[in-house]
Amino acid sequence: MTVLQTALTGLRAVRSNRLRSLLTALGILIGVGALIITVGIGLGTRTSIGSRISRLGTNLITVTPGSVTSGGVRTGLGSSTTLTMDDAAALKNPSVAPDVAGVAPVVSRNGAIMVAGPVTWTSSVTGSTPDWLLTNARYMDSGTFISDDDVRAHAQVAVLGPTTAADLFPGGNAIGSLVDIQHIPFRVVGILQPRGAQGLYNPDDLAIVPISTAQGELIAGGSLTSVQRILVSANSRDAIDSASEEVNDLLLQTHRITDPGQADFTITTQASILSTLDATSTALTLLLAGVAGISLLVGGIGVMNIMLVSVTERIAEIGLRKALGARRGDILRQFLLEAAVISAVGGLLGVGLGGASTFALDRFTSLVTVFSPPVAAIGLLIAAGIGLVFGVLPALRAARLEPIVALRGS
Amino acid sequence: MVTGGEHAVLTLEKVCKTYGAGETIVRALRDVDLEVRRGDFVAIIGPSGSGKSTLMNILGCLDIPTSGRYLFAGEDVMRMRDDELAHIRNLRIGFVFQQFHLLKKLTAWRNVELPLLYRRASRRREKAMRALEMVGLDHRVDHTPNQLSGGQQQRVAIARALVTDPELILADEPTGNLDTASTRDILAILDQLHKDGRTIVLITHDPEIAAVAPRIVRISDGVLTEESMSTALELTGRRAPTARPRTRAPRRRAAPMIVEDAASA
Repeated sequence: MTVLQTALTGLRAVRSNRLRSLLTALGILIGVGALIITVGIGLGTRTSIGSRISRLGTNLITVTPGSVTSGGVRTGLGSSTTLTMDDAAALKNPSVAPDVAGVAPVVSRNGAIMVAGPVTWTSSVTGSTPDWLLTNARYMDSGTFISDDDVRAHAQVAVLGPTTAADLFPGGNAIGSLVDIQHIPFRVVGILQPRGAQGLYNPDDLAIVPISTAQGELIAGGSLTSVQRILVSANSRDAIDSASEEVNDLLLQTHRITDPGQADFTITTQASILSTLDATSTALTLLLAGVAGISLLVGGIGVMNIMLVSVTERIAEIGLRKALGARRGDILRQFLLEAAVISAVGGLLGVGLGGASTFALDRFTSLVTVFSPPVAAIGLLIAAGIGLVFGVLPALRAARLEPIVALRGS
Repeated sequence: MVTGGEHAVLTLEKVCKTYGAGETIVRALRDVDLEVRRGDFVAIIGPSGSGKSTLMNILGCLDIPTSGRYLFAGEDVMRMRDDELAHIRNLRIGFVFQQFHLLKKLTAWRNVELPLLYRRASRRREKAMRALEMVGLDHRVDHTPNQLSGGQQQRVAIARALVTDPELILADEPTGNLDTASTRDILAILDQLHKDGRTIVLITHDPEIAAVAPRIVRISDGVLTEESMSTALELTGRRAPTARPRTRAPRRRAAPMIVEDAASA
């Protein structure tokens, strides 16, 4: 029998048992569909992480105080006050840290009450220096950012994020107006360009004031010297490692720490955070793909089960075919192809379901999903392969039937 | 096709078939000798349990003897591999079964086509049509088995046996499931095939059916004995003289290919 005729015979058998074939294919359908959806979500997550990396500015290095590691457990991250304005000033020295482009010491408080005329708004307020713009890869929309002079003079000037500005000044006349932050009047000198919300954190809802002003007037119990963290930007993406090394060496030196394991500060790069995120999402994708794989396996066992039933039911047919001259190979191929046809039909429906779900998720939910045609093709191949693999046992059983036994079976 | 019967199609020498072992051993065939020549029409007659089904399976290359020699057209069947046996069944033997064994989901001509599929033959529909014409069913080629009467189904099965133009037609109780009218039709077709020079082995428990064959062999407890034709005729003659196919032979000769439709009978 030619492959075409065998395939036609298989198709005919599948068609004549429509409901059963469909139920059998359902397992494969769900498996392939799940595979395509999970891979779609995984790819989508990776794409969105990638775009977030470029948006955040991967050159950013964050120095936070604290971090005494004891017995593998890091304690007190960010709770101590070991970083100072002097540390920040020292890092700005190009002869000591040549790979550092900008240094911005930062203090901040959440839940600061801001009042502009009749409007009251609660947001976070950050005290920093002019380098804050560079290190955060932010740009001005209008007006000017705070200057070194403002920092030196403890000037009561503020730069607003676009969200904050729009909420405090619905009329759009923010620049030049006064805003009371924690009952202290500040003059608005500039508005930032929007960056876009990232999950729960909105980087466009904040006010930035000179760090000296914040330390003196806004942070309760704050000193004029200690800072909450220091943002450092490297000259380039490639310089991140050497820059963080320079920062580390310098701070160890200024803090008079000989054993690097006893450092009272922690250095984090954006890239390291994002690679952790990436690894997490990869693990999640693998887990989901594993679940999809298991459901494919279960589907395959379903195919095997039904094919065994089918062989038992059609013992007389097998006997007749053998009596009429079918060789073992002919019978084997017939049942293998039948199993493969069922699985391939399930796989096709699964690709349809998976593709539709991927588009729907991308469109109607906050998830970013990507439909990948190669993955769909692989899913189809896997489905047909599963049909073949799990069809082997029933097909072998059919092929090995002795014709007289089979003929008597009717 | 007609060769004058000089060559043996089948030769069995001291063929034995046993099932089981030790105390429960069953000797289904004991030292069976049989020769069927080209153009022969042999009826093998025996009651159930006599070993005739075993003999039929061995003749049809569906089973292998335990000992002895079986030559099919001079070739030693016992030395053949599975696939070679399948080849012989496909090409050189046409089976007709008591249960018809048609595939219910296929139309008549698709059923007839089946053996051709396993040898990748060309012009399959044409050949199937010709075979169906030979049994007088060319007007029902697109009917499925459950749209056909028992007699018509068996005629489809005979067409399927003929489609590869085999050297041997092996009919196992071909009329066992049929009424008398259909039985008459089927026996008439077999008789005509014999007259056309085909080699036919008919297996039955019914002496009246066996009487259609010029040569009758009796099997009992696994032992084969040749019967003279006269004995067979006497047997059937006493019981049902009208059933003797001989009496209707002239009519069949007059219109050999037109067989009455069993369904309308």
